[in-house]
Amino acid sequence: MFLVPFAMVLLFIVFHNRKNKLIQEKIIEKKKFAAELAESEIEIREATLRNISWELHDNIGQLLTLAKIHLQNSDNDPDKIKESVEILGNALRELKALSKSINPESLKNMNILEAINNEIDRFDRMNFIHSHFEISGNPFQIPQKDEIIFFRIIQEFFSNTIRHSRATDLKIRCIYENKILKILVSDNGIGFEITDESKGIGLKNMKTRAELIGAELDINSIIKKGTTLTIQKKYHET
Amino acid sequence: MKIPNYIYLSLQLIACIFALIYWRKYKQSSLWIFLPFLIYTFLNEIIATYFALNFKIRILYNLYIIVSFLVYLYWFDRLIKLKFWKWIILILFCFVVFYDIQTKGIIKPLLKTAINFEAATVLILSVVFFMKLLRKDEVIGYYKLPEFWIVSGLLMFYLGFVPLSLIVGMGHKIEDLYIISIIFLNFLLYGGYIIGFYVSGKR
Repeated sequence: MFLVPFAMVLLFIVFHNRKNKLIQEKIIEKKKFAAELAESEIEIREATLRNISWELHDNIGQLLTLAKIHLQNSDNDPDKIKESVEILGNALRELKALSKSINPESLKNMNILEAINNEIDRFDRMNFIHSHFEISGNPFQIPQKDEIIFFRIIQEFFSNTIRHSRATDLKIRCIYENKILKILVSDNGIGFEITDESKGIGLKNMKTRAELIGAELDINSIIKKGTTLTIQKKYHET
Repeated sequence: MKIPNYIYLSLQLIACIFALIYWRKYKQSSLWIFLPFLIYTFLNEIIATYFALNFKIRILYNLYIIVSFLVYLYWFDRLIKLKFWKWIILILFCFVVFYDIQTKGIIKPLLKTAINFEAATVLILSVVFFMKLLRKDEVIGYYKLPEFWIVSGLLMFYLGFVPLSLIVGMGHKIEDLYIISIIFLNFLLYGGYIIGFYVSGKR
């Protein structure tokens, strides 16, 4: 009979300790998540600034330089002046598009699909790569924190494709099916060795971030064939 | 009627009242089984108490042992998904009951092997339930889970009941201690039910 009060106390001690341990783990997890989220946001901003710099230099800057050369060599030739005006008009349009795409308010309210579209528009403007974006299923809303992490992972992939892969085609597929969001991004670049340690840190970073939001991430790469990124997460019914 | 009977009946009645008050809150969950079961327990106890002098009431308790075992098995199956194990446990219980009936009959003596089998089953399944619960995030709010309180009550009851039953079975005369212990264990068992229904209402 003395066993019963002892067992009762023991049961509550075990549960109380487990509860406290789990709460501690949750707090640490939450802090880690917040830190990663903040870092992702900073990286997105940095990437955006880098993209603006490229776009100003390689696109708008080029158009303005061209217009300047045309005007310098025009000798009041109406045709050349007209051509310069057209180039200036193009530059102005590009500037407006750029301004719209980097407006903090519109960036804040953008969902993952709009953000990807924005990136693709930029690739088109810059003639970086031929890209194809496809959405299947019925898009559903996902938490903003997840959108940030998803987008950062995809942005990192885009950046690697543009900078290192020498790819000519980029395909993005967002599949919404049975409360699962699956994003597939692939290029036809030179690929890389998955076991290559120099690439390992970036991949590990992507995987860690995906794990933080409970998503599954997989990267496959075949030398001279290209690289494919797959991220997916199941969302429960609300 | 003796004082311990009043205590048992009072505890069962309070548990029934709590089960009725919070019925709407838990009727969609597996807890629903406990309202009819507690009403049956209470009525069984009343009938057994009032007819104890004139009739052979052991059959009522024997029937209660079988019903309670089936209720607990159903509930643990819903809680921890026993899968094929429930059939194994059920077949073993049938054998045990058959053995008791064959060796002692069902009318007069209690189905003691069946009670001990039931106690051992509830103890094992309670431990499995707690181990599973400890691995879940739900453990953060364990005290808000009606299942936690009901299983705690069952675990404590049978944890105390098994050694008592063994001591009595060995022929030791511990009548007073036995009655006090059973009252104490009933407090734990029905206390578990009462808190369980209460927290189900607050959930």
